[in-house]
Amino acid sequence: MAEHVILFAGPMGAGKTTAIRSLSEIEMVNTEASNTERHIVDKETTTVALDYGEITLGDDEKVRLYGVPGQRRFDFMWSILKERAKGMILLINNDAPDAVALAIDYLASFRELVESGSAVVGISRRDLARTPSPDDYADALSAAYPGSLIPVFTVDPRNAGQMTTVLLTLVATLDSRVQPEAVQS
Amino acid sequence: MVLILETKPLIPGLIPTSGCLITSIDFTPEDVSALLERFTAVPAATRFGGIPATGWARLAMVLHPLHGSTDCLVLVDLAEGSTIVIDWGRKDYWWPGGGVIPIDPTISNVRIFRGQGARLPYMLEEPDDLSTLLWHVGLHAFPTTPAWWLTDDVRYQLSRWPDFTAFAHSPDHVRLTALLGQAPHTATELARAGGVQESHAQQLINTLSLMGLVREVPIEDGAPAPQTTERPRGLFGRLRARWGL
Repeated sequence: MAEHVILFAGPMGAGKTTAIRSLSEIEMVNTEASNTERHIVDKETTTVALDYGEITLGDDEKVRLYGVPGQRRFDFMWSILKERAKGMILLINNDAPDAVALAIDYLASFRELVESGSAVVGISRRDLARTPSPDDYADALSAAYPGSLIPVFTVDPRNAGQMTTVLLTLVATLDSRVQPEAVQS
Repeated sequence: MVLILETKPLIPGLIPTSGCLITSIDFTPEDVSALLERFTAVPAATRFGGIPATGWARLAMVLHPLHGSTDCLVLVDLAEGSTIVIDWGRKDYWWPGGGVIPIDPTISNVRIFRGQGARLPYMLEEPDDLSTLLWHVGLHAFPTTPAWWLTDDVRYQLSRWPDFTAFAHSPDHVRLTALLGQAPHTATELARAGGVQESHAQQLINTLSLMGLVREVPIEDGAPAPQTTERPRGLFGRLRARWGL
């Protein structure tokens, strides 16, 4: 079976679980536990292992959507999953302190994917914090990864249409890199 | 065209800005041409028969040369009575008309305020991102022809992605933009690579250019066409089919 693994990364509270729920055609599998860091993000539960959703394409092809836990103490999971990943979607809540630096910090953990043009950044909660702007992120990303063209979108993870655009953009960048001789019919 | 070096209230509810006011009543095509010449050369401005008297094309021709400016305000008076206020430096705009922005408006006047500190300290309503207005203007200003500032001797390459989730778009827009991100294309080459009509590819290049999101790459004599080609049955196409898009 052909599998395409897409990672959803980002800090706790950015909306990774919600984003996967918006895209998945199956009841999402998640591993939530009580949030012991409510002083950082005020929500009752948080993902401790991973979230999982999928999109089926025919009989023998699936897009697998993995949400990795946002807390740094689970970063060993990131290493395992990124080995299998075709691309990643980084979600950053815009009301986080120094959100742009946070985005750069997370992307550094997935440098191989970023440098190969396999990453998209989604800015969530912009209704709560209008700044930094998408251009602020894009400027910082251009400086951190010269030559890379990383799409930056504002997103509401609850909005399936917007998350579809984010996923299609990631896939479009992956597809457009394939040279004619590598085309599979 | 009248150049006024003073500050005065713009519209009720606005704090006036400093800087010089470039304004005209009954803005004529000649005025627009003269205004453009103040900012930058526009080699293709008259290729298709001159500047139109009304419509989004006129606004696009005024806005495109402003890229690189920071302290700049633009007021666009529509014939039906409302005024679009653009804070170019903050990349915001306000439109009190509410609802859907018209596809084919009649623009009665365009006023540009330039100079240090030409910013709106506040507005009564929350602004919208300027990119949403530029996307709308770009798509509708030149629906079947190249934007008049574009030239035939360059290809266009994406320098920054538009915030597609902020405005209505099609999957083809995403797909074609990704191709522009991989290699410079002319509209003809982009249409061929993406399997769309040339007018559709041209419309996207017009729009991305107005938004300042593409850079020009000169076509040298004998330079080969870009090698990037989308997979005809790639994952994008299968996802799109899966979702019925």
